[in-house]
Amino acid sequence: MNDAIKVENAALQFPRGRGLFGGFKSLLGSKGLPEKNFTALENITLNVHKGEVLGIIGRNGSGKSTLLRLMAGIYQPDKGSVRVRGRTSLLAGVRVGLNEHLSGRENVHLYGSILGHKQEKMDQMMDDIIEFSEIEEFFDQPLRTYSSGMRARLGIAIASAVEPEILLIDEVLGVGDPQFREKSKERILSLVKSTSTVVLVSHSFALMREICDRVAFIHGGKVHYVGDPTECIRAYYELTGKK
Amino acid sequence: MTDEIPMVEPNPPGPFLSGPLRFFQTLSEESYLIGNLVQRDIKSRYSRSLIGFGWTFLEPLLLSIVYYALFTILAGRPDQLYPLHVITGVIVWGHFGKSLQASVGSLTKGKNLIKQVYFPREILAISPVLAQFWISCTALLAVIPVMLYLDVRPNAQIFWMIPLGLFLSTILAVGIGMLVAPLNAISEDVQHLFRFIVRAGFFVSPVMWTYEMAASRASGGWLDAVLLNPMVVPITLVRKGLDGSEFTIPLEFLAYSVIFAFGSLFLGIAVFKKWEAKVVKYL
Repeated sequence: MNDAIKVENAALQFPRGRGLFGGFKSLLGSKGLPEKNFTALENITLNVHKGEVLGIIGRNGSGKSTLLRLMAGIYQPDKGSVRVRGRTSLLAGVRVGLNEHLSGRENVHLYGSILGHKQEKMDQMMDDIIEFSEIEEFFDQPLRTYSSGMRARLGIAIASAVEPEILLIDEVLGVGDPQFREKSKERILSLVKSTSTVVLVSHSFALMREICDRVAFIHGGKVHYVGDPTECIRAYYELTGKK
Repeated sequence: MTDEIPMVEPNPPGPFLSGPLRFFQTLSEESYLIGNLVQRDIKSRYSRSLIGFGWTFLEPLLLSIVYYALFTILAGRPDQLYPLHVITGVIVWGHFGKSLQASVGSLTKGKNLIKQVYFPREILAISPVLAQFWISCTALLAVIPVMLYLDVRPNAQIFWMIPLGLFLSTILAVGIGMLVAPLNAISEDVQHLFRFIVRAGFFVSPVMWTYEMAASRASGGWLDAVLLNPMVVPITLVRKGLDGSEFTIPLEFLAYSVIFAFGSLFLGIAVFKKWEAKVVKYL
């Protein structure tokens, strides 16, 4: 099978304590006491085929975002392995890379480089970002003069101006006014269509049915179901109950 | 079926000793990102103040006046070049202390970014130090009025002693900072401990005093103990570069300082690369 992402028996535990001694011991390879840790992912095996759009659903705190970050290389699994084919790009919390004191233009360079782009690429995309973010005359002003909606628009504009081989999306829709929300949804959808492999975390089941080839349901750190979107959403309601 | 792109682990762990090699590779590959982060640090530091960048000069000047007054009260009439020595000490020690604290706290300070997007995290430890280096070099211009007032003329050794002194203090700060930054991600006790070390180190390093003062009072084992502090040589190098006087620290201690600085840089990078991926979950 031609897979873009292979997650095999991956487990990840978050430490509860902040003990320097215990933390140091675990760095050196000691297992530590299991009750001191919180298990986020217990035993995940999941393959993402090349060219598919895979959705991930689950209750809050079920480990969806953690799994996405594992795929992006942000976390390292404690057990098992995660392997990817090609460059991944994670769209999540689109405002963390922006700086108050820099202008919109400088922020495009800063955030763009954080996302792993090269200078020529950002220069090339600048006009597109200016147009999409609708910030106009504020673009050369420091970010502290922006309204929160304008910041969000700038963040989305930069973050969505990517062309990765594998796109990981963690609930980035739903910022700005209704018009901009619609526009950014379109943008993300066209990004999803133009990228070959996409993994999408969302609570919007309507969107899942619309664009996903397969959906995985994660519960309690394990994969409960992978397959047809409608079936998967049914499995979700069966296990978690209505409401 | 074979594919043109191989299947790889994102952010793979490598052997311990390959860390420094990959580190310098990253530095050259990510120069655009590093440049942007350095620019961000420099621009945001003084952006909310009226005097702005003027604080770079004012801070060491004002501090030196205070220390000069304090020293005169405590120890009587100091050496004629003392004002120059104290401002140099303040700037170089300040450079080391701020760089060290920036790289110790690099992972915890950048945790929002680290948790949202993957990029080589050693960049977070390096870029605030590069910004501080630029600021400290500018701050060093504050010695010019003092030198004009005292009528001090530097000679040719300024060209190697000042760069070497600043360079040694920078890589020492980066090395020690990167060595403990992963531990600081586990527990911020490390950061508080290092804030104390920087404050205490101020007194045991030649900031308010000079190597010559120590040499005239102590000798033998005591003087060797003073010279075990790896910051004595960098500060003294910058001082000698400015006033043009002879560098009297024994050469084996110069070698010791250079080896100490490069050794801690090498070890710091290797440890940081080994552990940074494992400590992200503590952030």
